[in-house]
Amino acid sequence: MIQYALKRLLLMPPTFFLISMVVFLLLNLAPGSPTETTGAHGEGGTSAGASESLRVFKEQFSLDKPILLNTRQWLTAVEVKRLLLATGAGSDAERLDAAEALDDGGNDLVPHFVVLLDDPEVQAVALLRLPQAAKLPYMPDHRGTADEVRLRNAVVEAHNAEVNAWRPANLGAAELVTRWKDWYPLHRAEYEYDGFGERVSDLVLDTRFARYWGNLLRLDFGRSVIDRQPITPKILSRVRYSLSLTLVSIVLAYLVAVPLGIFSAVKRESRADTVITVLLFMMYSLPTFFTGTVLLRWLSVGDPFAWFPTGGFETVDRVERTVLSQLLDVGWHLILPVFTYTSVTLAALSRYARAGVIEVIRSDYVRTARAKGLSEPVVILKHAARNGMIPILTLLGGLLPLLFGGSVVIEAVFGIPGLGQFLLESIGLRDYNAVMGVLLISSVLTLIGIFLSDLSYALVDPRISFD
Amino acid sequence: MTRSSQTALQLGGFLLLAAILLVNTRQLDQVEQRLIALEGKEPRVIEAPTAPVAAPATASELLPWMEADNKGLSRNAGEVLSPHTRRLVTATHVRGGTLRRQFGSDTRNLNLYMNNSTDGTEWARYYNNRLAYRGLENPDLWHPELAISLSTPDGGLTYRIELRKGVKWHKPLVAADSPGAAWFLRDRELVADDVLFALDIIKNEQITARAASLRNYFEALTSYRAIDDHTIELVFKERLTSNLPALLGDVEPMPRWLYQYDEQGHRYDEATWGLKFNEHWYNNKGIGVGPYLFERWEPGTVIEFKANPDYWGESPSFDHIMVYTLKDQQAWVRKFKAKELDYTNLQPEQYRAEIKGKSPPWMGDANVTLSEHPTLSWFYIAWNQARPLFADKRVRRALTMAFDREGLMNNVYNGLGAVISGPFPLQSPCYDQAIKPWPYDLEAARALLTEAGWTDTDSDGVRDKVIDGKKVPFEFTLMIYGSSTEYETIASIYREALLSVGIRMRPDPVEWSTQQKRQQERDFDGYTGAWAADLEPDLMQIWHSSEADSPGSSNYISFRNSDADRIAEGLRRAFDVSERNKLCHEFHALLHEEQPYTFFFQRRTPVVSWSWMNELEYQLENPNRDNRRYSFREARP
Repeated sequence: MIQYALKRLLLMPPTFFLISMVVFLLLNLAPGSPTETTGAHGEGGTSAGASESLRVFKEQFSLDKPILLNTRQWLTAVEVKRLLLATGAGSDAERLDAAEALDDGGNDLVPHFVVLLDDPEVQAVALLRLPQAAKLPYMPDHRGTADEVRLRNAVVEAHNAEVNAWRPANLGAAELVTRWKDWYPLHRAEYEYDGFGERVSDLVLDTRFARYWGNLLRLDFGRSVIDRQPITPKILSRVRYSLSLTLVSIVLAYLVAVPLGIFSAVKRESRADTVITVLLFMMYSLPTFFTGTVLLRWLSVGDPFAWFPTGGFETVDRVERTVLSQLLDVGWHLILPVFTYTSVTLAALSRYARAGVIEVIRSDYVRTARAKGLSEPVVILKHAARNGMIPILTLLGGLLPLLFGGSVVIEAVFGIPGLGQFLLESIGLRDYNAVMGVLLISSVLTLIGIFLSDLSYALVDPRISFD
Repeated sequence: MTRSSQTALQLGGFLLLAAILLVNTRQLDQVEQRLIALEGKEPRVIEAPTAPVAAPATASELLPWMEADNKGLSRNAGEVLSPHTRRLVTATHVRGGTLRRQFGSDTRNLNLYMNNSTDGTEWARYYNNRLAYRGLENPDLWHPELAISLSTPDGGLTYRIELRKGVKWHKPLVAADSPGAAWFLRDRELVADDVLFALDIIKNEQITARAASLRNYFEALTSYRAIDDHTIELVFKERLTSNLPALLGDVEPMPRWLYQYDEQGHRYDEATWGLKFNEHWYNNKGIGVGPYLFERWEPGTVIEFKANPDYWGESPSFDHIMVYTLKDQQAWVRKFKAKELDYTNLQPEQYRAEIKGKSPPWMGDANVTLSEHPTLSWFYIAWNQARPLFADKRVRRALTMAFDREGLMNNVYNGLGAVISGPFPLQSPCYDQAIKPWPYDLEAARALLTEAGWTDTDSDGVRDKVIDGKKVPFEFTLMIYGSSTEYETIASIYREALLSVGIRMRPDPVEWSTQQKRQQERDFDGYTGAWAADLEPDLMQIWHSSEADSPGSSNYISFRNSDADRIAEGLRRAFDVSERNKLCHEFHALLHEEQPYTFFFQRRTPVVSWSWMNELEYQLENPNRDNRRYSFREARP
């Protein structure tokens, strides 16, 4: 048993790594990118100032890096020349792609640009691109002590300011070419690779995915591309909304579904069972957005009743409340959403409970219990129900990520700012870090949930053993 | 005492007070004049202001500081600002109470240079001031706000700004026992450096988001400096019409003592403060010198403001403003009906359900008032002129004439809008009201297509033409925004109409990011879109032929016309209003003739409010509704 548990635990990290890679790839390969949705570069971003902002933005979120493998170090001057020529010819899509590849290439392209200065065909374009490409990235705060960071960034600042001024608009081409050629040998170290080790580490580590994992290992989900604030507190602040809704709903669903299931099982194929079944299936078939909207319409705006609030998680006004009245207020707001949520989960759960009990009622030991003269309630509750509940208990494990993830639809209809809504919006805005954060937490919880439910089989039912 | 007699009494009292004030200010003026006359001084020479002057306001409408501003304005040569003509808030209102309104999405943040969606500037109107504000009746006029004078001695290259004195900064929301408190919680007054810092932000290339999009408009600004604590001098290298609106509309004071410091009160290093500004610890809160103090932002729930007791100007009309975040638009009407919102706008389907074809009382309540506000954005269908199908203007006009704009607007948009014939909003003086939209006329459309050489030679119901030796049928796809059912309805009606003139069109609903990408790559035949218009239109971005050559620019349709280029360039340098309007009208006529777009319509938003609100005035500038102007007519029940 312990051996089994250990094996499962050890399998978790690689599984998690693979999940993270799949999600990351899907996100990054989907059409659209944060640079468009956030308008980081402003509209008509053609001016020098705006393109520098775009570069800074991409650098901050590693969007200028390749996703999984960085093969830019093997670019040749010939290929760079082809890209430079492609920015001026071909369809708009080809021109934009070439320009983006050159923008993102950054420091890796500098040696080639310097070589291409001798090529009259692309000299002018290379001069145009050199100042931007030669800019060094700033050192992030976590890479060293405050003084180290400050010193390095002062150097970077001076360096960037120097190259930034070398634009064809300011100086003549001939003058610029000699400047770059004199300048480059002195700064070769910043742009070229020394040795095999650096090349390999660049190939694997200088990528979006590796950088994401680098942050993750420091338990940092990164910052949102929307407001540049850390993701973790954003997620945490929304957990309470989702958790209150789903936890209450699931507990309630179990509380109602189990007795209902047992009752249906005992009275199976009676009229009462048929009525319950039909009712449950009706509740199950009604989509939550419909149930929610109808309930709000009938019970909140006074048409015909105004018994419940018009949505939201709690009353937002300027009245000071005691803890108790605040609790009551939240409860009052949660009645309709919880009902809506429960109405769906309830049906499925009670069917499981019914099936479980029916199976057990037919078994020999229940017949034995009846035969030895036990009263019917004792037979059902003590012998049949307890064993019939095993499948339903193990279902709980699968519900763990649900507790955290909330429900997109119900949160939207009732205006509850939980994680479901957060995830949906983040996807729309291509806020990669936010989406990754929520999905990774849910996948960890899923892994744990499945693990726990597998273990609980063995714990609850002595007949099952993993050894 | 009944409610109405109470109100009448209050009103009476208020009028009496106003009358006394009026008489007193008149008397003071007379006394002053008499004194001047007695001392035998020369009467002051008042230079004629160069800026246009609006119709004089009645004195009762102005506050004393406004009068003072108006007097001061006449001192400088080349003054740009115009005298105040009215207060922001209607004189008859009940001060206090809480305004409750909604917004459909979460704000991105409350740092006005980091938030590039339109709501950012809307929140800033509560907690901050600009140098000047636009006139409500005449948006061409700017009235003094933080600048009590803005003069340009050389007609548009050098600007000299005099700042108002005694304007206090809000206190940042930091705990009194936090390590930075000693630095952040000092009393501070608005000084020239606060305005310079805003310019530093716009000019700093490390800073992204809104600051980056504004940078374009400040490219001509070569230097700016403080002459003393309350005087600033700016020098532009070129006289551009965009300089002044950028300066007055987009520059708001920013506290350097906050945004260049970390939470502990340590200053960021000079090389990277811009990067730190992008993710500044105070970005989720708002700070300024405006009439309302930022109180809190609960993402997904509410943004709260409260009246600033130390405000220098017209006292705010509400004690509190609560802006609820309601993402589900169904909730807007629901909450409005439950009196949890003081006003709200209606979506087309809500308008259909609640208002259209009905008569007051709206929503079954006599206390609900309905008003309609025009918006400045306008809708269109764009034609990719790089493709041979749409190269001929007769074809484009035929496409317009097969598009039943009046019908669609009335049936799909419930008549909430007006069909336009050119690239300006109807309210803009640039729009030539004499140019009427092309009518919906299928017969004329057929004739135009035949004239352009498109005939149905093989009788398959679709017109064709030999282009470059190849027979091409008139078939194309129309890219539409996929998340809107309205567009799908419009596209299917349009498809039928086109088919009847011999053109096969296939609607292609796509997601927004795909649409943007394909627009930029110019990978489309036609698409439906909308532009948010500016009050001072700049035609270069969308229409200039130089933009047609640079991939990713806004001239998605590759429109090239030498006349259009000339007008667009001229408009950037035309300061005189009548000259500007002449150029605009010429441009309007040109585009009406060329039909590079099928101009569609401009929308009106239906707004419902409760009777305790005073009239909801709208402005032509974004945001459409300046809530500082709103007030309660009577106390909220």
